[in-house]
Amino acid sequence: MSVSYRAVQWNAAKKAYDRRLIVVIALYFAVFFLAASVAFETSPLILAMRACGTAAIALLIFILSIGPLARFSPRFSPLLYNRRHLGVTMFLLAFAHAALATLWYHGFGVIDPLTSILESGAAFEGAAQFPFQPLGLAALVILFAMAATSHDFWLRNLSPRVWKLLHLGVYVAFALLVAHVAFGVLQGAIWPGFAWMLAAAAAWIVALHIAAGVKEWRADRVRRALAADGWVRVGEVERIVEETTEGRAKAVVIDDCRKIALYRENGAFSAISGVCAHQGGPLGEGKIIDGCVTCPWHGYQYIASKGQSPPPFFEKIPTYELRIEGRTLYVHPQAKPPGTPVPPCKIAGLEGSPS
Amino acid sequence: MRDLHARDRRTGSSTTAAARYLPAVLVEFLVQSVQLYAIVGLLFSLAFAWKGAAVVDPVATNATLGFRVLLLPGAALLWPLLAHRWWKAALAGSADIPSDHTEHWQRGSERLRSVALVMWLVLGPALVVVLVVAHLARSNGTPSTRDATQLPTVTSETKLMEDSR
Ligand code: HEM
Ligand code: FES
Repeated sequence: MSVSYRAVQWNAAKKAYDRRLIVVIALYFAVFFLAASVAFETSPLILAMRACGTAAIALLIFILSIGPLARFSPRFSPLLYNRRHLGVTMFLLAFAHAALATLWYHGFGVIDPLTSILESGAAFEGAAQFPFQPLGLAALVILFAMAATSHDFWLRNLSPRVWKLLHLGVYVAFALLVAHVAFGVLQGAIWPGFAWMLAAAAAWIVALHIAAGVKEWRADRVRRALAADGWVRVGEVERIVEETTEGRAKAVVIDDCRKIALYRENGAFSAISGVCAHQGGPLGEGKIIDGCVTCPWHGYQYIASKGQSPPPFFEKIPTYELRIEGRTLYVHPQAKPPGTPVPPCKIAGLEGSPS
Repeated sequence: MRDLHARDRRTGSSTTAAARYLPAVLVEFLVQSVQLYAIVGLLFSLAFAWKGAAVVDPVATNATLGFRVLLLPGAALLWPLLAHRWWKAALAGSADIPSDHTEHWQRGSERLRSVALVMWLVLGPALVVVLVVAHLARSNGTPSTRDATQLPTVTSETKLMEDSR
């Protein structure tokens, strides 16, 4: 949400995050080289290739775990904050691995490296001869597309939805990589334990995503009754007041899977879309900081009653109308166009915290 | 001298014409298409980072050099799309940023999560199959014996052997 684009939007938190990332990778390389140079006698180039490949896949597994973990516990949300840098780092490691492999196995040939990779394992008989390198290449192409479009410029210019769809490609890349490593390591028979670690990691990733998906799907299934005049009953005002605190929201799902965040601010409620305009983060799990609803994922901010970011930013989200009748709070299911101001719905007798 | 130790059968470049899994013509066509696409993309990306980005998206008008450098790979990859956008924006005299802010798009992004769930339900069993096949293949064969019997054609390996003589 910058005013003009910069290469990297670093701040203190992101710098600390990146420093830790670099230290962890450096440690991994040190341990890998020490252990591996004892275990296999082979050239440093091969070792570097293996170090980069395994570091990339380990980082990918970590990255893929963060999203669903954050849906189970907000404690993991801080990890999401800078996930983009993890992704780009993972791509660079994978690229280094692929470049070294290409140099080593394909670079000294009389045919060009790309042809050589595509034709590798060409005469295969049975699965052990499976051409695993084209699988790695396909995964690398997907990871490249994701890393190359990771800047917010692409998010804005491809539109968040197309961008998100493109980045769902990471799942396909993950599957290709499991196959690449399973067949690659098999053909080399380097260390069978590695194959078991891979199987365990794949099982963990799949189980975690399915569990998180099912949780989400269950929550989305809650249908709320439409009142005769087309409004949707959210619940008793007292209950909602009990469930929320000042500056926090109640996440509501209406109409199959439309998400709404019901923010409590200064003794009143405002309803905005529960889906962040940045990358679809859960706005219902954010909080109000400096008068702005702040997304738990990457910190985009919105003024709840206006449905848009504070100037000079320009992000907009849909808003919803609220109504109290008797002791019941209703929301109108028709979203107002993004950025439409809606006056907050005052709750009699509810005080905002003095701040 | 390079150690030949790790340049084992996994190189797999020892292709015999009879047993290709991709026809040579197809590989050649693929490789040349990719090369052409990449060369055009590289040239385009320079022009795009320099001028085009600001036409397509006014926010990029005073962007930093670092940002422009970061644009290059994405622009080289997506050049047909961006060329089209640039063309349209230049003709219209104003940028047209695609928006999710329509009812239809908004509903779509709320549903993306369910798409992801379906994807995992398919991926899960697929990965099990991959791992099981890989495991079975392993216990079936003793792959390392095959290589020695194969006559290498002119490949990276033969060249290396010649080099190291
Ligand atoms: C053009 C693309 C790629 C090529 C040509 C390639 C090539 C190879 C080769 C030849 C091996 C066996 C290495 C050995 O002798 O130990 C291997 C293994 C491996 N690859 Fe790739 N690879 C590619 C892409 C990737 C990507 C994108 C990843 C992503 C994370 C990856 C991860 C791994 C891992 C974890 C292993 C097993 C550990 C190892 O032996 O290094 N590869 N790859
Ligand atoms: S999803 Fe990125 S800030 Fe909300």
